Amino acid sequence: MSDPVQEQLLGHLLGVLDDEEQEAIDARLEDEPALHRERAALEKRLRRLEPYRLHCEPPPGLAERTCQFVASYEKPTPAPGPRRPMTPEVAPPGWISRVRWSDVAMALGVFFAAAMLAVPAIQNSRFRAHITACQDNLRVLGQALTQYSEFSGGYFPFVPAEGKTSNAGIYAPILVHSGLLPDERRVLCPGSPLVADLEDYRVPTLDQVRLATDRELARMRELMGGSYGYGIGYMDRGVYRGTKNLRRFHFAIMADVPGGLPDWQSLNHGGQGQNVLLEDGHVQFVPTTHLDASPDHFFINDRGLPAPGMHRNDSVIRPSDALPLMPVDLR
Amino acid sequence: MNGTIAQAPLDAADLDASAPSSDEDLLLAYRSRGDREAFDALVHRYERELYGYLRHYMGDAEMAEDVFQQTFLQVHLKCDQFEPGRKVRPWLYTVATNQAIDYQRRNRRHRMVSLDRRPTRPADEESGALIELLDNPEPDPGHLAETAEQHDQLREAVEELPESTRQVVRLVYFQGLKYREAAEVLCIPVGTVKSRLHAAIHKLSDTLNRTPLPK
Repeated sequence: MSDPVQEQLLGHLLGVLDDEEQEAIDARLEDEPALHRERAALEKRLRRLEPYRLHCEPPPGLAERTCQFVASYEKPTPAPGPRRPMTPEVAPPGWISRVRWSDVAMALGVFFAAAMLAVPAIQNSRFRAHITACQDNLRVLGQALTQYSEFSGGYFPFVPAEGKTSNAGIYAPILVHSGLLPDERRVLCPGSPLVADLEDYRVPTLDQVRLATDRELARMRELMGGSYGYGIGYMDRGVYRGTKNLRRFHFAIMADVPGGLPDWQSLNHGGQGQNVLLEDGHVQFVPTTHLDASPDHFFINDRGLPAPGMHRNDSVIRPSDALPLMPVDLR
Repeated sequence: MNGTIAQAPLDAADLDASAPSSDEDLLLAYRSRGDREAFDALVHRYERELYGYLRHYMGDAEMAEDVFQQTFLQVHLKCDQFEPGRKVRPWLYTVATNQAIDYQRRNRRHRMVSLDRRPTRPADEESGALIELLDNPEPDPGHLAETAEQHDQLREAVEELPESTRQVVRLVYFQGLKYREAAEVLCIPVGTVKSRLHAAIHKLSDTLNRTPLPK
């Protein structure tokens, strides 16, 4: 069956011969009509196959996602220029010694008297204001995430399964790195304790994350996602996958960070509920951990675990420092 | 048909004009200087071609994407092992093929691969393999059915080939690797590649000749 001449002719037709072989066949074709006929017959066979050839287009953004994926394994490179620290400036010790205790007692007395009268109204007003401002933040984040998905093959920022960028809060450095989140403080809910603690808050750069020591990385992971939780991916036939933007009105992609209250209720709004950003871009405040439009518990998966979703419609929002595939505290 | 079958187009036009031009230059620039742009350029250059290979190999779009990413992660991790003087293209296909094999081994529940397995996802999920194959975003239903039928016929015919021959068909006929490059990827003599491809093309065309062309 094997015919070296036919094999060379086939290679010639497909353009898979080395240059010298290709030229040799060219030369023989000029002199040998029989070889021409053989080549024509072979070409006819290939023509018969041609309509059946498959042309597979890669999904949009595959190269960009791959570069980002590989970058999360990047070897250390020279340190970037100085940036402002993530940790707040600590007030100089001893300032309180300049205040007399009698002044403090007087001030406290006045404060508590006023508070007794005004606190309920103020609390209610502040509570509402915080919810509204928090919703504004989530809308801005939602726009940034949507824009990101538009140039990333439809995918939201991916939380890798391993490596230094494998925590839920990595969404924030990615959005900042992409130029989609100019105001980094949008990741801070005004009702969150972080706002008071971190006046000088900055989202770390991806390079800072990659270059961080273990200790620095632990601190960065706690803070980089701000006071919001971010949706990790889901498991598909044993493979961990990122979330694709399908603009579902019933699918949560971010929310006030889950807290230590029963049912994972967030502490950002006093445990009275949480704002949730849905994939279609709208934001709602829900007093429970379920959406109006879906029975899905958005802080845990369908097995009741704070781990990747069991399927693509199983949303799981995790705190900034949560690793998608690490063992978790099951409480 | 022209004298040669067109290979997958490269996206070199998108690259920085100042970037090194050959694959080998890009890889060596990344290896020696950690030049991220060179690495990114290599990924972009092979995006369409290597994805197409893996899509055929894995028979599933998402798996192909996973293996594509794993392939370039291996390139990143093992670029020190690339020997200057060798060609990047066959080396890259070797890495990709090994990654595809590893992926299938890891994924025990993976079904037997096919050249172009039909998607089994629900209709409301993202576009399936057939749609991905077509350039027209709103294909004519009749044309779409005809194309599907043609692809199915080839898929079935290729699946009847032994795995060793299928590999040669994938690399040479579908991907346009030279005989010598395919031999390097598969670690077999060049003569074996030639004879396997020749036999496969005859068998495929005979099989399809017995099948009426879709109307």
